[in-house]
Amino acid sequence: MANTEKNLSCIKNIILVASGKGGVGKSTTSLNLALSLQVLGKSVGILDADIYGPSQRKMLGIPNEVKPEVLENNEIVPIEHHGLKAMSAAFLSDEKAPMVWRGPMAVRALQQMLTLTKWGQLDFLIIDMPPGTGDIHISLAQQFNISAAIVVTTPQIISEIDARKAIEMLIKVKIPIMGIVENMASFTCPHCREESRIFGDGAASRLASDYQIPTLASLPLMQEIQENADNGVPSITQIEGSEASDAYLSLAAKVIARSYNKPDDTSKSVNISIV
Amino acid sequence: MYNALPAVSVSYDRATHIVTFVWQDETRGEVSDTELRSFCACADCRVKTLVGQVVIGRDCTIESIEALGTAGLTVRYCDGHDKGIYPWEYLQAICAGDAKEYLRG
Repeated sequence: MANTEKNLSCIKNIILVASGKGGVGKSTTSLNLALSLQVLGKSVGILDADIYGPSQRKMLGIPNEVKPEVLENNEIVPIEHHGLKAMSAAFLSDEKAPMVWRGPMAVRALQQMLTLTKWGQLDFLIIDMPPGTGDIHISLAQQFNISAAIVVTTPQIISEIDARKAIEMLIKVKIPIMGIVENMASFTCPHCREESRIFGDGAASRLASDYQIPTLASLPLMQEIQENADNGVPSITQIEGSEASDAYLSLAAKVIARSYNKPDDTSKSVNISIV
Repeated sequence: MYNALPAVSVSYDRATHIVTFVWQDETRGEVSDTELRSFCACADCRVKTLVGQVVIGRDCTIESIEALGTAGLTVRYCDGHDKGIYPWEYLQAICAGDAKEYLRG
């Protein structure tokens, strides 16, 4: 087995976090999901696949000068932070320099980041996908054994329209859709505690109904989540017991329950017979 | 309501077309092969359902059942269809007649 295949063979579940639209909170959801899975006892890695706008370095709070170690055989040792094994295009470039890559180059770069990284034994690898439904998505689906995808949307109709495109694309490339995460679903006024659904209502339930996909989480819009993301301190590590951390942990529990692990020794304990 | 624990045993009787599960709390669940096939949640079946095509054929006899670790089962039907993955929690819901509710979350 080639080293590159070996790097992926020890990962039980590869989960894509996708959306049709940018700015819906995909990266924040990916990171807090990854950390919540870890809180629930799983070994987790995160790959920032947003080649053109990587944000996980900033969100994880990894300083710019920290670079991953590249071994003699070109394998890359992921950066470990908050207990997560992380890899991002941002680790291989300057924060201020844009990635000027045509589609095939971006696809190739992502393939290399995925296969050359020494992930080790992981229960989950969360891939924070770029927005849209382009080359990178199709390439990942065709070349790697993706366990499932989670689609993030906000309640806005304009986001729902793009989420539909993402769902249709995932169905076409035969990636099972684990469920929908409705982000920024509600806002509770810190002064009067009144709840408002400022981006509208019902996108997740309409998608769930139309595609028979479960809604895994309805996450609140919270100022702390934005501040924590910008300050590099992921919310799940900061606001334990809050509405947001409860929602992320609940999301992680559902992901564990619905994940499709590769066969392991425990499968032998199920007695299967056909007569 | 349902849990992700694997069944203790899964048996399929070709004569009666019934799959019987014995769960870890020693309760039993049953589902016919036709019903199990109709609740396949793979992308192929979802696409067919979306465009109004019939998902199940006349004969849904099961050829093989395999455990996928602690996650669930894959089932191969006599028409060659084997794409579906049935998590244990989902199988419990199917046996209880709650499959559609489960899929809605």
